[in-house]
Amino acid sequence: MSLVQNFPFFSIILAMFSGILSSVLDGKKARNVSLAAIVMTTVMSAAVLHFCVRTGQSYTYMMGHFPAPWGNEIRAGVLEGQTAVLFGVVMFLAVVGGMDHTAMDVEESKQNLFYIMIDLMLSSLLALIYTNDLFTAYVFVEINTIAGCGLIMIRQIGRSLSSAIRYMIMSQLGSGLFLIGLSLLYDVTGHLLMSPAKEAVAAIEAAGLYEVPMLVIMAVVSVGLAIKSGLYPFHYWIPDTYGYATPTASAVLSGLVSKGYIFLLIKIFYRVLGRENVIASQIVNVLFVFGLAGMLMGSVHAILERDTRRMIAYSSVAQIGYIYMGIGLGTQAGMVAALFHMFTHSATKALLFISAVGLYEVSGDRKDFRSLQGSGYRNPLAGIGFAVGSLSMVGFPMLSGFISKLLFATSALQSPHKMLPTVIALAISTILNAVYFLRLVITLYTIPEAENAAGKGNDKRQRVFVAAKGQGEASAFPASSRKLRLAIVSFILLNLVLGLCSQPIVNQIGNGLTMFE
Amino acid sequence: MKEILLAVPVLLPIAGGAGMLAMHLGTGGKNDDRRLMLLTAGLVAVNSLVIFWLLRFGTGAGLVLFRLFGNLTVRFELDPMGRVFAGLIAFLWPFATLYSFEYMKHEERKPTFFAYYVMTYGVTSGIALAGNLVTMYLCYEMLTLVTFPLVLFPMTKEAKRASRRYLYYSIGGAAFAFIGLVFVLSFSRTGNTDFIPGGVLNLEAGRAQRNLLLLVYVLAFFGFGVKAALFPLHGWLPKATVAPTPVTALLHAVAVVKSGAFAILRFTYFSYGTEFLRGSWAQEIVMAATLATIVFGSTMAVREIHWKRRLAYSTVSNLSYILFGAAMMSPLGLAAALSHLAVHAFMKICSFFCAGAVMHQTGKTQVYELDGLGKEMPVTFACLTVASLSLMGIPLFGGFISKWNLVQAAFACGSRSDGMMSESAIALPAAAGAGVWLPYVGVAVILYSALMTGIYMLTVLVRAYFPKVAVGDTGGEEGGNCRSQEGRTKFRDPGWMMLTPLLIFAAVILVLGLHSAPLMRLLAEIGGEAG
Repeated sequence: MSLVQNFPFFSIILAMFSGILSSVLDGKKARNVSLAAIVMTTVMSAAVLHFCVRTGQSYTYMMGHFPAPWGNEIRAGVLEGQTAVLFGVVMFLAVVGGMDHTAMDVEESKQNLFYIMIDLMLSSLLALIYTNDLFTAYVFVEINTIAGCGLIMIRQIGRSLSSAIRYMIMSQLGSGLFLIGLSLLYDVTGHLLMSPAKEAVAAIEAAGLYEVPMLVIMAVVSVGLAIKSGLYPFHYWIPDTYGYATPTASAVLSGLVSKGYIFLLIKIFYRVLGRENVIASQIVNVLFVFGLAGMLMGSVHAILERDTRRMIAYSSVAQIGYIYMGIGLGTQAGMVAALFHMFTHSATKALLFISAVGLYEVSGDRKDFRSLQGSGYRNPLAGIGFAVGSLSMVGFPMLSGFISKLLFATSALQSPHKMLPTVIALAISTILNAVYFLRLVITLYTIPEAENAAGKGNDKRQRVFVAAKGQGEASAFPASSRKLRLAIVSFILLNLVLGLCSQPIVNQIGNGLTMFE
Repeated sequence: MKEILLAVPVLLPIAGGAGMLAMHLGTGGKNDDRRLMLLTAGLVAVNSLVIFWLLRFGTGAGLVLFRLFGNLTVRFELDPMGRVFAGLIAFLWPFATLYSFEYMKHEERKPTFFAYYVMTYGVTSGIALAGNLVTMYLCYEMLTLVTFPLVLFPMTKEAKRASRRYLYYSIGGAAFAFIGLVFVLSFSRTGNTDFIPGGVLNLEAGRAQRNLLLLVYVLAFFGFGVKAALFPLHGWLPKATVAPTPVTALLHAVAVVKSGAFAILRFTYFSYGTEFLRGSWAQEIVMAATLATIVFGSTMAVREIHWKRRLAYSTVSNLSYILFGAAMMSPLGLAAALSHLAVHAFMKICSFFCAGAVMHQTGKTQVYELDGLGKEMPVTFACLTVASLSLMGIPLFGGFISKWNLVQAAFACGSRSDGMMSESAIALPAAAGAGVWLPYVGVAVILYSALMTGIYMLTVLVRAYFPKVAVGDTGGEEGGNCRSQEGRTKFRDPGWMMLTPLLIFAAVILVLGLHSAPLMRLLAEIGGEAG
């Protein structure tokens, strides 16, 4: 066994210990520890990815020399490596980009707490990605929830407290269902490790036993994780959560946390329940329908929304809908599309949240999107970042969103009954996306009437604008903008990479999925 | 090596325009203006020269710029049909730029305007040179992006609303065109979306899913049709006339809308292939839609009293002439469509430029304000007369030729005396009933539209040449009365920068009317190959 193979385990532990270490440090040091941990885990994940690509196979890693049915296992393959690397990069950039806002929004004495939460989040995400054990997955799901709650709550304004409670309740409902599913599964199969559980499931299915319990397990696990990732009818916690947290937290929660659960769901589908069984049980069709509904309704809500960040949050609902639609197609290609969209959405949504911050900075931090008028000129880079993110979400060619859309559409053609609904829903959803995203982009680049026609002068808009300008100048922090700029530029590059060099990534996703089975 | 040149007309203006945006050129000072003009003129001129060079000396094989994904390559190629469009825009753009120099003289934020103006040139060349459907789709989306700042340019409330509407319509259209792209990709017999005369569909696989593919065709037709202002989706075009006139003229009469029409021609003749579509219900639907648009557009133009909007409605109807040609799905239809595409470009840009010249010199925008201007701005209105007569389809003018081609193609299509018989009469026994009477309706529609064109164009001319000032005591003529009492200063023709393009375009219309044979021969060849 080479050293690289230990890395998944190391990175989980490293992230967790840096959280523990941070509890005795002050804010700044905690932040540096966090950043170091993120960088190191990302590098390690990259090494794992490289190892798996080079050897062309995945491996399981036994913890503490206890063999299969008793011990705990970690599994690493191409897909795991890819996801971990991407999550690491996005997390790093989100933390860097939102750093100064975190310093501003969070009370001095609680700064280190914020970074502890980030560390725990990282560690739980990595564990969700790497684990080969269902119960470990459950434990880290809970850790993830708690860390998420902490990240939301730490801003300590009224709305963020209530939204944290809402998040807590919905998440607990989801974890509860997930736990029920796991207990049933344990009851039926007698295993909690994924690989033996899968064999047991296969045997059960072959014997035609436990039809109803198996169906219940699939339903309960899917619905539990769907609630946690915010699939359409269970999305009520999303807008408040993403809308009122600090920028870093919003970017991390929307970009990564929901994706961690989706990744887990896909992993369970493939590695425990068996893809064929899931398809046969019609659960995928349910997910498909909810996904389609989410794609459309999320966008409709976003159109009705006036607050920029809540708008972006509702767009997440739509994007999660896309992902579930891809899973719901039930084909390998659909799954690849869903996973790729997961990547796309992580990169893009974080970009949007972070550049929105840049725009708010120069517009006086008001909620209404109309206050952002002209901010694209005041903070050009953030404007470009937001425009790129928006265009990617609309599916503009050369950006990552286009590739996802293409993958969804081409994979839909393989399933005759779902083909037309999918492509039509894609088209309609593109239009809806365009309506709210590009409305915002236009707002960024319009010169307020007051400035344009100075003669008209004294209307309300102008006063608002002038006030906004004044505040913007007051709250402008020159030191911050460099980090923010770095984050925005890197996110834009990440988007372009995903859009232009997607072929190897998609190939590897396909490889990773075959390794899953 | 030669192939590399293919990317130049696309990338040079885009890069140049982006550079102009990034440079933060100043405005106001005389030097600033001169530098801006030189830069713009240089970029446009060099680009046109490159295109002409390519047209003259050929290009060899296509150029694959990069690979988007899998078989989706961004590929440029100059095939005969692309030549027509590329040549057209390479000819029009320098003159339109010249015109806009004078027109925009007193505007603020000129650098932004010209930067996007130049970028649009590159993107439009991209559509002309696109060697496959993906590249065209890419450029089609980019076209929306680079042109909407131009609509937004006046920054008035109206402009904001118009640009938003334009954006939604275009992106929406592209979303449906995207469905077409995906289906073509999946059902292609070559595995990619390259344009091949006669289409790339795998006919055997296609036949099994015939109705589905036809439905997708209709969706994509309407999707691309958004830019070509097809009837229920035309709403953005009249609104977009709030943009400065050079934009309305060049983009909303030529580049943008023609890109839509061109895309439909490509999609119909080079991706789906006419063999698959001819005689199907899809053909009937799209043809009916184009005919409805012609009727609607020309009727609305008569109703409209805002001059530029009237011309925009005229564009709506005229674009559907092209689409009607496309919907015939025969060699003659393609040739006729292309000929109208070329001729209409000159006619409409000429009329718009006249309207712009009047707006620029006098500030008048409504048709009823034009009384007597014909004598004060003789050159402008002479050019307008030529364009109007040509639009009506009077013999000796270019418009007659293309309309003649269209009607001829329609008769042929109705009696199925051309390509249909020769190649696929056997393949389409069931299609005998389809598309037989619609082309004849089309002929009637074209006649009706010619009549309406006469009304809406000639009323302008009558106003201008034969003012009612003498009997100006009726309520509607108050303006005229006042003016004559004030003894106002006379309006004059605009400067040479605006007049030269007008004169040249008018001359081209006449030349096309009198000596169209070489162009028509070329178009007929294209038609014969692809239809």
